[in-house]
Amino acid sequence: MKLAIRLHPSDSVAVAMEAGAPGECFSVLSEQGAECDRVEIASALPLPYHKVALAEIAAGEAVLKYGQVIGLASAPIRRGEWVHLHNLQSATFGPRGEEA
Amino acid sequence: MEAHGTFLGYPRANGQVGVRNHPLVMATCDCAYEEARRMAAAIPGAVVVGQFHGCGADPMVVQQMVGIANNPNVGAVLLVGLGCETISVDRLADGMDATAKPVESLVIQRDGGSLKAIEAGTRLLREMAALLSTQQRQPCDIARLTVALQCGGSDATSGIAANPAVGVATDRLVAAGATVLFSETVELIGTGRLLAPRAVSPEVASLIQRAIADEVWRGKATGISGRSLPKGNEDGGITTIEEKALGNILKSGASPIQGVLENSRERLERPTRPGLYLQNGTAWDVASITHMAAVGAQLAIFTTGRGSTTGHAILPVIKVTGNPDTFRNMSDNMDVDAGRIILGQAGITQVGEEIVALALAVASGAKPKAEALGFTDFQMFRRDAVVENMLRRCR
Repeated sequence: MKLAIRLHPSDSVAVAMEAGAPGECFSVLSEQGAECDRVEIASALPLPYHKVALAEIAAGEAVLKYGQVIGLASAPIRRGEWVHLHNLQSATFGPRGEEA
Repeated sequence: MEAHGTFLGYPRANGQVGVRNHPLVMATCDCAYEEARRMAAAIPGAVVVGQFHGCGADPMVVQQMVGIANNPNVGAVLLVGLGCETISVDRLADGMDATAKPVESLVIQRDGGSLKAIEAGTRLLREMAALLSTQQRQPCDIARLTVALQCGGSDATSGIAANPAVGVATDRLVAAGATVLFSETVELIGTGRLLAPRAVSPEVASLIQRAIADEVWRGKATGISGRSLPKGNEDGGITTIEEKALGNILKSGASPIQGVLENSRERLERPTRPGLYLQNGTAWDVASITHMAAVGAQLAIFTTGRGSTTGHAILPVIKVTGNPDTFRNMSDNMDVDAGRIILGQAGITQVGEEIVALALAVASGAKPKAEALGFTDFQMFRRDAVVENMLRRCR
Protein backbone atom coordinates (compact mmCIF):
# COMPACT_ATOMS: atom_id res chain seq x y z
CA MET A 1 0.00 0.00 0.00
CA LYS A 2 1.19 3.51 -0.76
CA LEU A 3 2.34 5.59 2.21
CA ALA A 4 1.57 9.03 3.60
CA ILE A 5 3.20 10.70 6.63
CA ARG A 6 1.26 12.62 9.32
CA LEU A 7 3.80 14.88 11.00
CA HIS A 8 1.83 15.68 14.18
CA PRO A 9 -1.14 14.05 15.94
CA SER A 10 -3.32 17.16 15.56
CA ASP A 11 -2.68 17.54 11.80
CA SER A 12 -5.61 17.67 9.39
CA VAL A 13 -3.39 16.76 6.41
CA ALA A 14 -0.77 14.09 5.66
CA VAL A 15 2.03 14.14 3.07
CA ALA A 16 1.62 11.41 0.45
CA MET A 17 4.88 9.78 -0.60
CA GLU A 18 3.56 9.09 -4.10
CA ALA A 19 0.98 10.40 -6.53
CA GLY A 20 -2.42 8.75 -6.16
CA ALA A 21 -5.65 8.19 -8.07
CA PRO A 22 -9.22 8.44 -6.70
CA GLY A 23 -10.20 5.26 -4.91
CA GLU A 24 -6.63 4.29 -3.97
CA CYS A 25 -6.00 3.67 -0.29
CA PHE A 26 -2.95 5.17 1.48
CA SER A 27 -1.57 3.93 4.78
CA VAL A 28 -0.93 6.96 7.00
CA LEU A 29 2.14 6.70 9.23
CA SER A 30 2.59 8.74 12.39
CA GLU A 31 5.82 10.63 13.06
CA GLN A 32 6.93 7.50 14.92
CA GLY A 33 6.46 5.42 11.76
CA ALA A 34 3.45 3.39 12.93
CA GLU A 35 0.24 3.23 10.92
CA CYS A 36 -2.25 5.62 12.50
CA ASP A 37 -4.89 5.88 9.77
CA ARG A 38 -5.88 4.68 6.30
CA VAL A 39 -7.33 7.16 3.86
CA GLU A 40 -9.05 6.63 0.52
CA ILE A 41 -8.07 9.19 -2.09
CA ALA A 42 -11.07 11.33 -3.07
CA SER A 43 -9.44 13.52 -5.72
CA ALA A 44 -6.27 12.82 -7.72
CA LEU A 45 -2.92 13.58 -6.06
CA PRO A 46 -0.98 14.56 -9.19
CA LEU A 47 2.55 14.52 -7.77
CA PRO A 48 4.51 12.96 -4.89
CA TYR A 49 4.83 14.76 -1.54
CA HIS A 50 1.51 16.60 -1.91
CA LYS A 51 -1.02 16.84 0.90
CA VAL A 52 -4.11 14.71 1.42
CA ALA A 53 -6.83 15.76 3.89
CA LEU A 54 -7.32 13.48 6.89
CA ALA A 55 -10.42 15.34 8.10
CA GLU A 56 -13.46 17.16 6.79
CA ILE A 57 -12.38 20.83 6.74
CA ALA A 58 -14.87 23.68 6.39
CA ALA A 59 -14.15 26.74 4.23
CA GLY A 60 -12.31 29.29 6.34
CA GLU A 61 -11.11 26.71 8.83
CA ALA A 62 -7.41 26.48 9.73
CA VAL A 63 -5.47 23.63 8.11
CA LEU A 64 -2.89 22.01 10.39
CA LYS A 65 0.49 20.46 9.50
CA TYR A 66 3.48 20.17 11.89
CA GLY A 67 0.74 20.73 14.51
CA GLN A 68 0.60 24.36 13.32
CA VAL A 69 -1.60 26.50 11.09
CA ILE A 70 -0.30 26.40 7.51
CA GLY A 71 -3.22 28.40 6.13
CA LEU A 72 -7.00 28.64 5.80
CA ALA A 73 -9.24 26.46 3.65
CA SER A 74 -10.52 28.59 0.75
CA ALA A 75 -13.18 25.97 -0.05
CA PRO A 76 -14.73 23.02 1.81
CA ILE A 77 -12.26 20.08 1.82
CA ARG A 78 -13.40 16.46 2.07
CA ARG A 79 -11.36 13.77 3.77
CA GLY A 80 -9.15 12.13 1.13
CA GLU A 81 -9.05 15.22 -1.05
CA TRP A 82 -5.88 16.75 -2.49
CA VAL A 83 -5.04 19.93 -0.52
CA HIS A 84 -3.17 22.58 -2.48
CA LEU A 85 -3.54 25.99 -4.13
CA HIS A 86 -7.17 25.42 -5.17
CA ASN A 87 -8.46 24.97 -1.61
CA LEU A 88 -5.79 26.33 0.78
CA GLN A 89 -4.43 29.85 1.12
CA SER A 90 -1.98 31.69 3.33
CA ALA A 91 -3.43 33.06 6.57
CA THR A 92 -1.01 36.01 6.29
CA PHE A 93 -1.39 36.98 2.66
CA GLY A 94 -4.68 36.68 0.81
CA PRO A 95 -4.84 35.57 -2.83
CA ARG A 96 -4.38 39.09 -4.18
CA GLY A 97 -2.23 40.57 -1.45
CA GLU A 98 -4.97 41.68 0.92
CA GLU A 99 -5.07 40.30 4.42
CA ALA A 100 -6.85 36.97 4.60
CA MET B 1 26.37 12.74 21.04
CA GLU B 2 28.00 16.11 21.07
CA ALA B 3 30.11 17.15 18.12
CA HIS B 4 33.60 17.49 19.53
CA GLY B 5 37.22 17.75 18.63
CA THR B 6 38.96 19.85 16.12
CA PHE B 7 39.22 20.66 12.45
CA LEU B 8 42.24 21.64 10.38
CA GLY B 9 42.06 25.31 9.52
CA TYR B 10 44.18 28.33 8.69
CA PRO B 11 44.60 30.49 11.81
CA ARG B 12 44.74 34.22 11.02
CA ALA B 13 46.78 36.78 12.93
CA ASN B 14 43.56 38.35 14.31
CA GLY B 15 42.33 35.09 15.88
CA GLN B 16 39.94 34.09 13.11
CA VAL B 17 40.32 30.73 11.37
CA GLY B 18 39.87 30.08 7.66
CA VAL B 19 38.66 26.75 6.31
CA ARG B 20 39.88 27.81 2.86
CA ASN B 21 42.78 30.01 1.82
CA HIS B 22 41.58 31.86 -1.26
CA PRO B 23 43.39 34.69 -2.96
CA LEU B 24 40.41 36.96 -3.68
CA VAL B 25 40.09 39.52 -6.45
CA MET B 26 37.34 41.97 -5.57
CA ALA B 27 36.00 44.38 -8.17
CA THR B 28 34.68 47.33 -6.21
CA CYS B 29 32.28 48.33 -9.00
CA ASP B 30 30.76 46.77 -12.11
CA CYS B 31 33.12 48.69 -14.42
CA ALA B 32 36.20 46.96 -12.99
CA TYR B 33 34.80 43.45 -13.12
CA GLU B 34 36.10 42.36 -16.54
CA GLU B 35 39.68 43.19 -15.59
CA ALA B 36 39.28 41.54 -12.18
CA ARG B 37 37.85 38.42 -13.83
CA ARG B 38 40.81 38.11 -16.18
CA MET B 39 43.34 38.49 -13.34
CA ALA B 40 41.68 35.67 -11.41
CA ALA B 41 41.39 33.48 -14.51
CA ALA B 42 45.17 33.60 -14.95
CA ILE B 43 45.98 32.22 -11.47
CA PRO B 44 44.57 28.81 -10.47
CA GLY B 45 42.79 28.93 -7.13
CA ALA B 46 42.09 32.66 -7.27
CA VAL B 47 38.44 33.65 -6.98
CA VAL B 48 36.78 36.82 -8.21
CA VAL B 49 33.73 38.64 -6.89
CA GLY B 50 31.86 41.73 -7.98
CA GLN B 51 28.74 43.33 -6.57
CA PHE B 52 26.67 44.52 -9.59
CA HIS B 53 24.80 47.27 -7.78
CA GLY B 54 26.59 50.06 -9.63
CA CYS B 55 29.34 52.35 -8.39
CA GLY B 56 27.56 54.36 -5.70
CA ALA B 57 28.35 53.56 -2.12
CA ASP B 58 25.15 51.84 -0.98
CA PRO B 59 25.85 51.21 2.71
CA MET B 60 24.70 47.59 2.58
CA VAL B 61 26.99 46.88 -0.36
CA VAL B 62 30.00 48.53 1.32
CA GLN B 63 29.42 46.68 4.61
CA GLN B 64 29.12 43.33 2.89
CA MET B 65 32.10 43.85 0.56
CA VAL B 66 34.26 44.70 3.57
CA GLY B 67 32.87 41.70 5.43
CA ILE B 68 33.63 39.35 2.54
CA ALA B 69 37.20 40.68 2.28
CA ASN B 70 37.58 40.19 6.06
CA ASN B 71 36.18 36.63 5.94
CA PRO B 72 38.85 34.24 7.23
CA ASN B 73 38.46 31.95 4.20
CA VAL B 74 40.13 34.74 2.23
CA GLY B 75 43.91 34.56 2.63
CA ALA B 76 44.79 37.65 0.60
CA VAL B 77 42.82 40.38 -1.16
CA LEU B 78 43.38 42.28 -4.38
CA LEU B 79 40.97 45.21 -4.69
CA VAL B 80 40.35 46.41 -8.25
CA GLY B 81 38.62 49.73 -8.93
CA LEU B 82 38.07 51.77 -12.06
CA GLY B 83 38.88 55.12 -10.46
CA CYS B 84 35.76 57.30 -10.74
CA GLU B 85 33.50 55.19 -8.51
CA THR B 86 32.28 56.31 -5.09
CA ILE B 87 32.82 52.80 -3.70
CA SER B 88 36.59 53.12 -4.11
CA VAL B 89 39.39 50.69 -3.28
CA ASP B 90 40.47 53.01 -0.46
CA ARG B 91 36.98 53.04 1.02
CA LEU B 92 36.92 49.24 1.16
CA ALA B 93 40.54 48.98 2.35
CA ASP B 94 39.77 51.38 5.20
CA GLY B 95 37.17 48.97 6.56
CA MET B 96 39.40 45.92 6.33
CA ASP B 97 41.47 44.34 9.05
CA ALA B 98 44.91 44.66 7.46
CA THR B 99 46.53 42.73 10.31
CA ALA B 100 44.90 39.49 9.19
CA LYS B 101 46.02 39.20 5.57
CA PRO B 102 47.83 40.95 2.70
CA VAL B 103 45.73 43.57 0.90
CA GLU B 104 46.70 45.19 -2.42
CA SER B 105 44.85 47.65 -4.64
CA LEU B 106 44.79 48.56 -8.33
CA VAL B 107 42.94 51.43 -9.97
CA ILE B 108 42.51 50.99 -13.71
CA GLN B 109 42.33 54.70 -14.60
CA ARG B 110 45.40 55.46 -12.47
CA ASP B 111 47.43 52.42 -13.42
CA GLY B 112 47.43 52.69 -17.21
CA GLY B 113 44.20 51.12 -18.44
CA SER B 114 42.96 47.59 -18.72
CA LEU B 115 45.96 45.71 -20.01
CA LYS B 116 48.51 47.26 -17.66
CA ALA B 117 46.15 46.77 -14.72
CA ILE B 118 45.55 43.14 -15.68
CA GLU B 119 49.29 42.51 -15.97
CA ALA B 120 50.05 44.17 -12.63
CA GLY B 121 47.11 42.48 -10.94
CA THR B 122 48.00 39.05 -12.27
CA ARG B 123 51.54 39.47 -10.95
CA LEU B 124 50.28 40.55 -7.50
CA LEU B 125 47.93 37.59 -7.49
CA ARG B 126 50.75 35.17 -8.41
CA GLU B 127 52.74 36.48 -5.46
CA MET B 128 49.75 36.09 -3.15
CA ALA B 129 49.12 32.53 -4.35
CA ALA B 130 52.77 31.65 -3.74
CA LEU B 131 52.63 33.07 -0.21
CA LEU B 132 49.36 31.31 0.63
CA SER B 133 50.75 27.99 -0.64
CA THR B 134 53.34 28.08 2.17
CA GLN B 135 50.67 28.30 4.90
CA GLN B 136 49.73 25.04 6.64
CA ARG B 137 46.45 23.89 8.12
CA GLN B 138 46.58 23.47 11.89
CA PRO B 139 44.25 21.83 14.42
CA CYS B 140 41.63 24.38 15.52
CA ASP B 141 38.84 24.15 18.06
CA ILE B 142 35.34 23.63 16.72
CA ALA B 143 34.43 26.80 18.64
CA ARG B 144 36.22 28.74 15.87
CA LEU B 145 33.65 27.54 13.36
CA THR B 146 30.68 29.59 12.12
CA VAL B 147 28.21 27.70 9.94
CA ALA B 148 25.59 29.30 7.67
CA LEU B 149 22.28 27.49 7.12
CA GLN B 150 20.43 27.94 3.86
CA CYS B 151 17.74 26.26 1.81
CA GLY B 152 16.77 26.58 -1.82
CA GLY B 153 14.56 24.73 -4.26
CA SER B 154 12.61 23.34 -1.32
CA ASP B 155 9.86 20.78 -1.60
CA ALA B 156 7.73 19.01 0.97
CA THR B 157 10.56 16.58 1.77
CA SER B 158 12.67 19.49 3.05
CA GLY B 159 10.47 19.91 6.13
CA ILE B 160 10.19 16.15 6.71
CA ALA B 161 13.78 15.01 6.24
CA ALA B 162 16.53 17.45 5.21
CA ASN B 163 15.74 20.34 7.55
CA PRO B 164 15.10 18.18 10.64
CA ALA B 165 18.43 16.38 10.02
CA VAL B 166 20.23 19.71 9.70
CA GLY B 167 18.45 20.77 12.90
CA VAL B 168 20.12 17.87 14.71
CA ALA B 169 23.47 18.98 13.27
CA THR B 170 22.79 22.56 14.40
CA ASP B 171 22.14 21.45 17.97
CA ARG B 172 25.29 19.27 18.01
CA LEU B 173 27.47 22.09 16.65
CA VAL B 174 26.04 24.65 19.07
CA ALA B 175 26.50 22.28 22.01
CA ALA B 176 30.15 21.92 20.99
CA GLY B 177 30.66 25.68 21.06
CA ALA B 178 30.32 26.57 17.40
CA THR B 179 28.29 29.46 15.98
CA VAL B 180 25.40 28.76 13.62
CA LEU B 181 23.50 31.38 11.58
CA PHE B 182 20.07 30.99 10.02
CA SER B 183 18.41 33.67 7.96
CA GLU B 184 15.75 33.89 5.20
CA THR B 185 13.47 36.01 7.39
CA VAL B 186 10.58 35.97 4.91
CA GLU B 187 10.53 32.21 5.38
CA LEU B 188 9.86 32.65 9.09
CA ILE B 189 6.39 34.13 8.54
CA GLY B 190 3.93 32.27 10.74
CA THR B 191 6.60 30.80 13.06
CA GLY B 192 7.16 33.68 15.51
CA ARG B 193 5.35 31.97 18.34
CA LEU B 194 7.64 28.93 17.97
CA LEU B 195 10.89 30.92 17.66
CA ALA B 196 10.32 33.69 20.21
CA PRO B 197 10.19 31.34 23.25
CA ARG B 198 13.65 30.04 22.22
CA ALA B 199 15.19 33.52 22.56
CA VAL B 200 17.72 33.96 25.37
CA SER B 201 15.97 37.14 26.55
CA PRO B 202 12.65 38.99 26.17
CA GLU B 203 14.55 41.60 24.16
CA VAL B 204 15.75 39.01 21.63
CA ALA B 205 12.23 37.52 21.50
CA SER B 206 10.79 40.89 20.54
CA LEU B 207 13.53 41.38 17.92
CA ILE B 208 12.54 38.05 16.34
CA GLN B 209 8.86 39.06 16.27
CA ARG B 210 9.76 42.49 14.90
CA ALA B 211 11.93 41.00 12.12
CA ILE B 212 9.07 38.73 11.03
CA ALA B 213 6.46 41.51 11.28
CA ASP B 214 8.69 43.74 9.12
CA GLU B 215 8.81 41.03 6.44
CA VAL B 216 5.00 40.78 6.48
CA TRP B 217 4.85 44.58 6.13
CA ARG B 218 7.36 44.57 3.23
CA GLY B 219 5.40 41.79 1.55
CA LYS B 220 2.14 43.68 1.75
CA ALA B 221 3.73 47.01 0.77
CA THR B 222 5.31 45.47 -2.32
CA GLY B 223 2.20 43.53 -3.33
CA ILE B 224 3.22 39.97 -2.45
CA SER B 225 0.28 37.64 -2.95
CA GLY B 226 -0.75 34.38 -1.37
CA ARG B 227 0.65 32.77 -4.52
CA SER B 228 4.16 33.96 -3.76
CA LEU B 229 6.12 30.72 -3.73
CA PRO B 230 8.36 29.65 -6.60
CA LYS B 231 6.77 27.13 -8.96
CA GLY B 232 9.14 24.38 -7.80
CA ASN B 233 8.00 24.77 -4.19
CA GLU B 234 4.39 24.45 -5.32
CA ASP B 235 5.05 21.47 -7.61
CA GLY B 236 6.93 19.93 -4.70
CA GLY B 237 3.85 20.05 -2.49
CA ILE B 238 4.32 23.30 -0.54
CA THR B 239 1.23 25.52 -0.73
CA THR B 240 1.66 28.52 1.58
CA ILE B 241 4.44 30.68 3.02
CA GLU B 242 3.53 29.50 6.52
CA GLU B 243 3.90 25.85 5.46
CA LYS B 244 7.27 26.60 3.89
CA ALA B 245 8.38 28.51 6.99
CA LEU B 246 7.36 25.75 9.43
CA GLY B 247 9.55 23.36 7.46
CA ASN B 248 12.36 25.88 7.11
CA ILE B 249 12.80 26.62 10.82
CA LEU B 250 13.52 22.98 11.57
CA LYS B 251 17.05 23.69 10.28
CA SER B 252 17.63 25.76 13.40
CA GLY B 253 17.09 22.75 15.69
CA ALA B 254 15.96 23.45 19.23
CA SER B 255 18.95 25.52 20.42
CA PRO B 256 18.44 28.84 22.21
CA ILE B 257 18.51 31.87 19.90
CA GLN B 258 21.26 34.22 21.09
CA GLY B 259 20.30 37.23 19.04
CA VAL B 260 19.00 38.77 15.85
CA LEU B 261 21.83 40.13 13.69
CA GLU B 262 20.82 43.15 11.69
CA ASN B 263 21.86 43.58 8.05
CA SER B 264 20.40 46.97 7.22
CA ARG B 265 21.41 50.27 5.71
CA GLU B 266 22.49 51.30 9.22
CA ARG B 267 24.63 48.34 10.26
CA LEU B 268 25.83 44.79 9.65
CA GLU B 269 25.98 42.99 12.98
CA ARG B 270 28.29 40.08 13.83
CA PRO B 271 27.78 37.35 16.43
CA THR B 272 29.28 38.44 19.74
CA ARG B 273 29.54 35.00 21.38
CA PRO B 274 29.05 31.40 20.18
CA GLY B 275 25.60 29.90 19.64
CA LEU B 276 22.65 30.13 17.27
CA TYR B 277 21.65 33.46 15.69
CA LEU B 278 18.98 34.68 13.32
CA GLN B 279 20.67 36.90 10.75
CA ASN B 280 17.86 39.11 9.53
CA GLY B 281 18.01 39.08 5.75
CA THR B 282 17.06 37.81 2.37
CA ALA B 283 15.86 34.37 1.32
CA TRP B 284 17.63 34.78 -2.04
CA ASP B 285 19.90 31.74 -1.82
CA VAL B 286 23.35 32.84 -2.92
CA ALA B 287 22.99 36.38 -1.59
CA SER B 288 21.84 34.97 1.73
CA ILE B 289 25.01 32.88 1.99
CA THR B 290 27.01 36.01 1.05
CA HIS B 291 25.59 38.07 3.90
CA MET B 292 26.26 35.28 6.40
CA ALA B 293 29.81 35.02 4.99
CA ALA B 294 30.13 38.78 5.47
CA VAL B 295 29.80 38.30 9.24
CA GLY B 296 32.25 35.42 9.37
CA ALA B 297 30.56 32.17 8.31
CA GLN B 298 33.18 29.79 6.90
CA LEU B 299 30.94 27.08 5.46
CA ALA B 300 27.32 26.61 4.48
CA ILE B 301 24.92 23.71 4.92
CA PHE B 302 22.24 23.97 2.24
CA THR B 303 19.08 21.89 2.08
CA THR B 304 17.15 21.32 -1.11
CA GLY B 305 14.31 19.19 -2.38
CA ARG B 306 14.06 19.99 -6.07
CA GLY B 307 17.85 20.05 -6.43
CA SER B 308 19.77 23.34 -6.13
CA THR B 309 23.27 23.16 -7.63
CA THR B 310 24.80 26.42 -6.37
CA GLY B 311 28.09 26.80 -4.56
CA HIS B 312 29.70 29.98 -3.28
CA ALA B 313 32.80 31.97 -4.17
CA ILE B 314 34.40 31.87 -0.72
CA LEU B 315 32.44 29.25 1.26
CA PRO B 316 32.24 25.51 0.68
CA VAL B 317 28.54 24.58 0.40
CA ILE B 318 27.28 21.17 1.57
CA LYS B 319 24.10 20.06 -0.20
CA VAL B 320 21.59 17.99 1.77
CA THR B 321 18.48 16.71 0.04
CA GLY B 322 15.49 15.07 1.68
CA ASN B 323 14.14 13.91 -1.66
CA PRO B 324 15.34 10.39 -2.55
CA ASP B 325 14.54 10.91 -6.24
CA THR B 326 16.66 14.08 -6.33
CA PHE B 327 19.60 12.36 -4.65
CA ARG B 328 19.49 9.55 -7.19
CA ASN B 329 18.90 11.83 -10.17
CA MET B 330 21.45 14.52 -9.19
CA SER B 331 24.18 12.51 -7.48
CA ASP B 332 26.82 14.80 -9.04
CA ASN B 333 25.41 17.69 -6.99
CA MET B 334 24.06 16.25 -3.73
CA ASP B 335 26.37 15.50 -0.79
CA VAL B 336 24.00 14.04 1.81
CA ASP B 337 21.08 11.70 1.15
CA ALA B 338 18.49 12.60 3.78
CA GLY B 339 15.93 10.92 1.51
CA ARG B 340 16.78 7.75 3.42
CA ILE B 341 14.67 9.25 6.22
CA ILE B 342 11.65 9.36 3.89
CA LEU B 343 12.29 5.77 2.83
CA GLY B 344 12.64 4.58 6.44
CA GLN B 345 16.30 3.59 5.83
CA ALA B 346 17.87 6.03 8.30
CA GLY B 347 16.82 8.09 11.30
CA ILE B 348 16.87 11.87 11.53
CA THR B 349 19.52 11.77 14.29
CA GLN B 350 21.76 9.45 12.30
CA VAL B 351 21.69 11.70 9.22
CA GLY B 352 22.22 14.77 11.43
CA GLU B 353 25.37 13.20 12.86
CA GLU B 354 26.59 12.39 9.35
CA ILE B 355 26.12 16.07 8.47
CA VAL B 356 28.24 17.13 11.47
CA ALA B 357 31.01 14.71 10.47
CA LEU B 358 30.92 15.95 6.88
CA ALA B 359 30.93 19.59 8.01
CA LEU B 360 34.12 18.99 10.03
CA ALA B 361 35.72 17.14 7.11
CA VAL B 362 34.81 19.98 4.76
CA ALA B 363 36.14 22.52 7.28
CA SER B 364 39.41 20.57 7.16
CA GLY B 365 39.61 20.76 3.37
CA ALA B 366 37.39 18.04 1.89
CA LYS B 367 35.52 19.46 -1.10
CA PRO B 368 31.74 19.10 -1.25
CA LYS B 369 30.35 18.60 -4.73
CA ALA B 370 29.57 22.22 -5.63
CA GLU B 371 33.15 23.14 -4.72
CA ALA B 372 34.67 20.17 -6.55
CA LEU B 373 32.71 21.30 -9.61
CA GLY B 374 34.33 24.72 -9.25
CA PHE B 375 31.09 26.62 -8.68
CA THR B 376 31.83 30.11 -7.37
CA ASP B 377 28.39 31.70 -7.19
CA PHE B 378 28.32 35.19 -5.72
CA GLN B 379 25.46 37.64 -5.35
CA MET B 380 24.84 40.46 -2.95
CA PHE B 381 21.56 41.58 -1.43
CA ARG B 382 20.61 45.14 -0.58
CA ARG B 383 17.35 46.50 0.68
CA ASP B 384 15.28 49.00 -1.29
CA ALA B 385 15.88 52.37 0.40
CA VAL B 386 12.38 53.62 -0.47
CA VAL B 387 10.67 50.60 1.09
CA GLU B 388 12.87 50.85 4.18
CA ASN B 389 12.11 54.55 4.64
CA MET B 390 8.37 53.84 4.33
CA LEU B 391 8.65 50.99 6.81
CA ARG B 392 10.35 53.24 9.34
CA ARG B 393 7.58 55.84 9.01
CA CYS B 394 4.73 53.35 9.14
CA ARG B 395 5.70 51.18 12.07
